[in-house]
Formats: sequence, structure tokens, C-alpha cells
Amino acid sequence: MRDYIIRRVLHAVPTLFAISVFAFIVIQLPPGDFLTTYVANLSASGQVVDEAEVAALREQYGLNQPIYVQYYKWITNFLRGDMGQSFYWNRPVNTLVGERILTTMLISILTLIVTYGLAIPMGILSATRQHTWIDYILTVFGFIGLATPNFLLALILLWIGIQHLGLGGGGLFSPEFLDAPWSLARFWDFLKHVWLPVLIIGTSGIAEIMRVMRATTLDELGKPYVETARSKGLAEGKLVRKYPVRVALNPILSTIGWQLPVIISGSVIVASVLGLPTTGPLLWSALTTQDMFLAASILMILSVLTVVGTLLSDILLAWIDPRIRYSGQEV
Amino acid sequence: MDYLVEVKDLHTYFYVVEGEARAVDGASFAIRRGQVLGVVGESGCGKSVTARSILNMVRPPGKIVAGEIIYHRTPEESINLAALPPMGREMRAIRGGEIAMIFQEPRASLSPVHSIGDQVTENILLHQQVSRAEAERRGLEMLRQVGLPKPEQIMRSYPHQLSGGMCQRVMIAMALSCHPRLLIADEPTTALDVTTEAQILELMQALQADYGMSIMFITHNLGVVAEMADEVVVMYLGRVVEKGTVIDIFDNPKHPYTRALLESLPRIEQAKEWLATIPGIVPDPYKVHPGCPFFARCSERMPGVCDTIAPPPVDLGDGHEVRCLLYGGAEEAISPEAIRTSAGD
Amino acid sequence: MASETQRRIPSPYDEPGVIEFAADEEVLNVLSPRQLMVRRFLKSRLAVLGLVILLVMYTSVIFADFIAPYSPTHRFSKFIHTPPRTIHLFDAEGNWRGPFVYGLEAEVDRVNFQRIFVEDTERIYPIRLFVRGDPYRLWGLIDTDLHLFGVPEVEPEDMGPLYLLGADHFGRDLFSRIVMGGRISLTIGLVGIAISLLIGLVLGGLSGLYGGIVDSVIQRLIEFIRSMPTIPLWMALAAALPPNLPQVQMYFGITIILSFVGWTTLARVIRGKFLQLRSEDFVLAARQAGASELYLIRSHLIPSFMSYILVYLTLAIPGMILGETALSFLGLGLTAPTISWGVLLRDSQDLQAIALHSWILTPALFVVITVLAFNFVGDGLRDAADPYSVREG
Repeated sequence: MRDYIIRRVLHAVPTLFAISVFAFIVIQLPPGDFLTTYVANLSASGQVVDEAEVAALREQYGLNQPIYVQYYKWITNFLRGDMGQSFYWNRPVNTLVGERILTTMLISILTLIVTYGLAIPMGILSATRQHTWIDYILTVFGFIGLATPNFLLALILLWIGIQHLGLGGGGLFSPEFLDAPWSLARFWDFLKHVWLPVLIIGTSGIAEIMRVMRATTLDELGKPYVETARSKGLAEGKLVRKYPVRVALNPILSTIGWQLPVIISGSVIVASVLGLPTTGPLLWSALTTQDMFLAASILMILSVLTVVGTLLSDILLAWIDPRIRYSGQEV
Repeated sequence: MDYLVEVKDLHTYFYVVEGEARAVDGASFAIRRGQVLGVVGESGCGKSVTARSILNMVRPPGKIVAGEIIYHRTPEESINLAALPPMGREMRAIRGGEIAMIFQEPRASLSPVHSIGDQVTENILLHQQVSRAEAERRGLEMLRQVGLPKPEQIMRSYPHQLSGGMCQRVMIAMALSCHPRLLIADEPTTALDVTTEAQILELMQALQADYGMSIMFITHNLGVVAEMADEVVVMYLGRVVEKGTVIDIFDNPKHPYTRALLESLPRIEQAKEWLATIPGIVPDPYKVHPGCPFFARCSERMPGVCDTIAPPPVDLGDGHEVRCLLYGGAEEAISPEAIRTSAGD
Repeated sequence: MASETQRRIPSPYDEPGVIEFAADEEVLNVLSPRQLMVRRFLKSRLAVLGLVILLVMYTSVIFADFIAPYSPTHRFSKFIHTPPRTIHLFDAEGNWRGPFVYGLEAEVDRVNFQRIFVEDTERIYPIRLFVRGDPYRLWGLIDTDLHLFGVPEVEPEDMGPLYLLGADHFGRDLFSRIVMGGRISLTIGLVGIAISLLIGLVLGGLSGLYGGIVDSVIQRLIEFIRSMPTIPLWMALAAALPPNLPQVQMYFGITIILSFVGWTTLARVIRGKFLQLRSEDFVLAARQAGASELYLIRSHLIPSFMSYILVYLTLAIPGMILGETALSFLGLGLTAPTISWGVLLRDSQDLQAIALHSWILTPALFVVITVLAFNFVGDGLRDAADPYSVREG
């Protein structure tokens, strides 16, 4: 078991390294660099640009050096905690990301909890009440949840919210809490606002997990050990929860870590649409303005979160499944 | 007659897309206190559904549509199990506590994610008001009784760590932990190799003698029946075609189906070129034909008679009963079957 | 015992016809597995519905110019942001006229300076099939101006154009733009999936077949790709494409980006199936009979997971469609003047616009319906292909 963990962690390191190289290269791919876009924007708005000044800026930011040198500088700084400077915002990436990373994490984790918290009971309900109207409604919801792109859902719900509910039009905090330090009251205010984005981001996840839970539970319900439990005289509700659900939960929970990247990924667009202060919109604008360090750093951070999430989930799986725990093998 | 359980004219049907499947179509038999009843028949003849009907464990889309299952808890106290709500308190108390069941695939019949100890003590805790520690002690004792080595270790193990034979012993321990009056064994040794099978059968015989309980032993293996049973019930297509003592059935079989079954057993002393089989296959359960269910495959059928009249039970004395028009019963004019099925076909 | 009866025991040396069967012996109908699959598929109403929807969608892709009543770039500046037209059947007196629209007048509200559109019940414009309209070149070959439906012999500006789904902020017919947009949105998925399939089959097959180093390398690669969150990855790759790339190349660039991640799932599954099947009894039996590696692959392995692949494809296409829609919506994918449903939805980023002109969200509806249809078909295929699935009544 311990060997397994060590092995997985060791695997993660080269992967992250490879990702950093890849991220850096991808960000650099578009021809030109931040300054090219900057100059183009300036020219488009009619301002005159001094060539010498541009060259000086280029020198200053080190944009004229070969790519591997730039990468080396970036990665060594990154590992020391300095993620470089954002050209667009003219502030250190650390500060920009730091402001938003907490919110991003909070939203992602909340979405994860809500997703599984809703999907699992709904899946069980759907399976045990197969072919009843509950099952049909949940199945329909499942289909629609899967089919609707979440950013559209965001738009629609936002529109409904503005038109009919008088919601503030997005944003995560009421005005008085916007820049305040974290406190219980602020957290509560946050929760009041965040339930909508969380639901939107989680919709497709809820739909998918619910369907899988339903299918696996149905599978397990027909197995012999369920009949044995029944023959012992257990009440139906209790035996469903103790036996087939417990077995069906294994594959679902084992992939919990894999849901996290999906959530992080999905939240990027929704956050962009709703204007939430998370890393998503930051990445979007960084990519469109070729704000190199910012974009690469965010991509890197999101990947780290992904890798860590999946690592944790693999370890979790190894821990809860007795078949793996006692045989010491990797499934 | 000290009967423990009497099954009277049981009808259990399944309602599926393809139609109405009559898994049990008028079965009647009884299990005596302290005796072993063997139930034989081909796959699909309704033996398993009968067992589950007794425990009122038939799941939708199946249900018991008619008949009674009288359980004589004591000679003074009787109750119709078929009339009880299947998941009600009373039925659940009986299930596992007074009537227990063991199943065909022991490994698959145990939960893969719960320890053996957990599963064995659960049964005790469900039916007996004892502390957890006491339940564990009793569970341990049961494991010892069924001949498992190192029972403490087994309590902490999981099913996938045990062999098939050991799992079946666990199942037996679990089933007997509350000292039920009746043990229903649904093909308990079919999935085991012959050596293990012999051991399990031996165990069951010993326990039966010790506890004085009845066993309803379902199998398609006639050899096992000969070994274990005191009385035998032969089923075909949801009906009991013959029943009697094991001696009667084996030495003096009357129904053509019973005879064909016995003849299909390969015997060493008879040098035959070809193994005897029963021609044809078990018919479609969704199409019910009037008359005797075995008509299509019977070598002694009487066309015009056997395919119109459903044979009523004929008493041959000493508890030997057969449902075959060869032995009488043709006088019972038009059978209700013929009317029902010709209308519903 | 019963051995003296006329019952005959079948033996290999009997002539046919000697054995006597019971009168009501069942007649066995034999269908090939494929026919069985088709039958089971057709039993599911949802799956059939999905299939019908997809057929309609893809037919309209082929005949897009014909089905769209107007050219997607035709601007009617007088009729900016017209809501969807109402199609009437009975006139103001209650007489049956067939489908028609009233004339439309655009006025400006004196109070809030908003455009209002008023129907003039005096002027009646019948809708007919096969009318002449904006000229186009069918499939780049044939010059014609025939459209499936429209209002004949009237200039659209005079009558108020036949906006089935309303007009955008340039007065262009949204329905026509959606139909034309379908061309890109619906086909990008197919192309992307084809690429994924190719890469996935090759790499997954190699991985499963040869194992060892080849397997390790490919597995590491897959792990690496899957370690990065999908949408940010797509965004980054899409942003990497030069902004003034010609649209055709952009189209292929996007498809390649979308399949960049997609092939990994397929490769993993194929590898898994290969590994699993290699030790299956029927493969061992074939090997014992002397089958070569290639024969095994062709005749045994591939047919056995063909149905799975089919199901996977149907369920993966929607992912691609949604991916393109998302990227274009964010401005990182296709851009105007190319028309795709994602590009059309870019207009709806403005909340004010949606509040006032909610019909610009309609492309989203088409996306949802398409994805649903694919899901229904995929589920139906999966249920049909699984020989062990049981349906309760």
C-alpha cells in the first residue's frame, strides 16, 4: 500500500515537469509575443509607437532571448514561488493568482461536494424506483443536464435570475463584502451567492454521475448477495444501502479525483460568462492578450490541481476497496 | 402428520414484456418436521421460484398470485406466509430467524466489501436480542461448528480470500446461526467440485441430525437426492408431477418424466451405446397449453386425452402421489386449465 | 423401464426425417447478430427519435443553402432585431388562407427609442414551397436561386422578411444563419471523431498488441495529456493558432485540437479490450487452430469490439460539438465571418441583448437537441449491442 503511494507520487513529478514544458511552449506558439499584441492594439487605436521604446521593453522583459532560456528562467522562478510578471495587468502573477486561487478552489470543492451529494442519492433513487415517474423525471433531467453546455445554462439562468428574481447580475459577493477580509459573515454571503454558479458548473457532472450510479446500482441489485441479505430478513431500505449501494459506490468514489479536473475545466467558461473572480476569466484574457507568464502559470496551476486530485483519488480507491488493500496489488 | 410447511396450490407468475410466465403453476407439497425433502427437476421447472415463494421473496415483476403457504411454527400455531406483506416485520422475523436459505454460488452470495464476521453476526443481531460481543461469540461458534479452521481469522477475512467450499460453509453457518426450523438449500453444491460437494453434504447431514431441523433440498442432481432426501418432489414446468418417499421415487417411479430422468442417469453396469435423453426441450413458459405439461415430450402420451385434460393428483398410497392420466383421473371431464388457457392464448 | 417404447435416440448415423418431434415443437427463427442488433435498436423509441433528428439535421447540412430562405449574409437594415414572425393560418375575418405572414412595419417608439414592429393585417403574404430567392451556388457547382420555402415575388424589404426565428443585430435571418452554421458545427464533430478514431486505433492497438516499451511510452503519453484540464488546454491550443488563419485551415486546426485529447479515451479502451481479449478462450482456441496474428486481429478482435467503438463514437461526437461551440463562443475558435453555432452565440454574451432579444439564444437549442439526439442513439446502440441486457415489462 505504501509502495503504491510512493510509486504514484514519483510518477507525478516527471508528468508535472513535462506539463510545464508543454504549457510554456503552447503559450509561446502564437507568432510574436505580448508586445506585438500590445503594439498592434496601440496602433489600432491610433497611437504612435516608438520602435526604440519597444525594443527596450523587449530587452527588459527578456523577450528577445531564446525560448529555452526564457523557459529555464520561468521554471526556476516558478519553483521558488515567483511566477513572473503579468504584462497586461502590470502586476506580479503571484498576486493576481493568489487573489483568485482561493475562490477557485472553494468553488471547485463546493461543486464537487454538491455534485456527489446530489448525484448519488438521485442515482440510488432512480435505480430502486425503476420505471416509476421518479425514475423518468430523473432520467430526463440526466439527459438534459448532459446535453446543455454549461455556459449556456449559465447565460439562461443568469437571464432568468435578472429578469425574474432580481439577482445582482452575477458576482460572488454583496457590495459590502467585496473587498472585506474573510470572516464567517463573508463566508455566509459567499454561500448565498455561490449556489447558482456551483449548480451550473456541476450540472453535467451531476447528470453523468447520477446515470452511472443508477446503472451500477441496478447491476448490483440483481446480484446474489443482495438476495442473501434479503433472505436474512433485512428491511429493504436498509439492505439496499448496506449492500448494493456500498459496492456500487466503489467505482464512483474511486473516480472522485477525476471529477475535480472536469469541474475546474468547466468552471473556466462559466466563470468567464458570469464574471466570477476566479482563475478562469483570468486565463481567458491572458490567452487573448498573449500574457505569457500569466497564462502559462495558470495552466500550470490548474494542471497541478488536476494531478494532485487524481493522485488523491487513486490513493483513496486503494484504501477503500478491500480487494486491493489486502492483496497489495494495483488494480 | 407433523408438517412444518404445507404448500397448497401455489401459483407464482412473472409479468414481463413477452407476456405472463407461469413459473409455478399449481404446486402442492409438504415438508415434515425434521425431514429432508428433495425437490428435483430440470432448469426452469420452477424449483427456485417455489423456494423463494415460501420465503415470500419473489421480486417484481414476479408475484404470488394464488395459493397458500402454511407454516406450522408449532403444532398449535400456524400462519399463511403467502398472505403476509413481503417486507413486513412479521415476515422478516421469520426470514432468517425461523426459515433460512442458502444459495447456489457461495462466493457471489456473500458481499465482497463486508467481512465474514460482519455478515455472520448481522444475522444473529437481526433476530436475537444480544449484544454485539455476544453475537460475535455465537458467530465464531457457528463457524467452528461448520468445520472452518481458524475461525477467528475467517471472521476478519473477506469472501474473495476464501475458497468456494469455505464460502458455502460460511453461508451455512450464517443460515443456521439462529437455529431455524427449516433450511432451504437452493442447489448448494452445484457450483462446487465433487470432493467439496461430498464434504458439504456430510456437514449438512450432521447438522440436520444435531439441530433436528427440516431441509428443503433443491437440486437437479438425482444422486444427491438419493443420498440426502427422505421424501422427493419432482417438478416439471411449474407443477409437481410426482411425489413420494425417496425409495418409492427411485425404485418405483410412475410418472414418465420421473422415469425418463432416472433412465438418463448413466449407469456403469448397463452397457448402452447411446446415452438416453428426453427428446425436445422445455417449452416456452409464455405459452400455456391445455392438458399435461409434459405432453410434448412424453413417450407414453395419449393424444386427445393428455393434451386436453390436466391430470389431477392420483394417490397411490403411502404418500406416493402422481399426476398422470395413465393412472387415472381422465374422468375429471373438462379441466379448468383448458378453459383458461384456450381463452388466453 | 421405458426402453421398449417407439422413442428413438438420435444418432449421427440417422437419416434426416427419422426422428419424430412433438406436434408443437417450436420453430426456431434464426437472425444474424447484426439483424438482432438492428431489431433491438428499433425497439427503443428514444433511439429511433434520436436517429430521425440526426437524419434531419444532416440532410439540412447537405441542402443548407436550399433550406435557408435567405442568404446568411443578407442584411435587412430596416428590420434589425425583429422578433420571430408569427405564421398565421386564418385571416382577420376567420377565413382559411394557408400559412402566411402579414406585412411588417418598423416604427420607432417615441418614448424609449426602441424599434417596434407592427403587423399590417391588410397585407397578406402567403408562404409557398420552392420559391426563388437569394442566389447561391449549390455544393459549389450549380448556380441556382431556388429555396425550399419563402414568399414569392415580393421584395423582403417591402413585406418584412420571413424571420422564422427572428433577426440579429444586422437584420440577418437567424434561421438561415443557424442552418448554415449547422454545416460547421455538425461536421466538425465528425471530422474530429475520425481523427480521434484513427489515432486511437493505431496507438491503442499497438499498445495492446505489443506491450512492453511501446505500451509504456504510449501510456505515459496518454497520462500526460489527461493530466491537463481539457478546456483550458483547448483554450491554450486554440489561442496558439494564428488569428488571421484562413477559415478552412482554422476549421481543421480546431478539429485537431479537439481530437488532441479525445483519442486518449479511445486508445485506452482499445488497449484494454486487446489485452482482455488476448487471453479470452476463443482467441486461445483460434491460436491453437493455427491462426496468424493478423487473422486474429481482423476476424476476431476487431469484430468483437466494433459495437463498442460505434457506441463510443456516437457518444463522443457531442463532446466535440460542445467543444467547438465553447471555443467559438469564447472567441478562441472560429470567428466571423465563418458561421457556426458557437460563433452565433457570441452575440449572446451581452446580457442586455438576451434580455431584450431572447431569440438570439436559439442556436443553443439546436446544440442541445443535437447532443440529446446523439446521446439517445448512443444509448440505444449500447443497449442493442449488449446481448445480456434484459428489459423488464
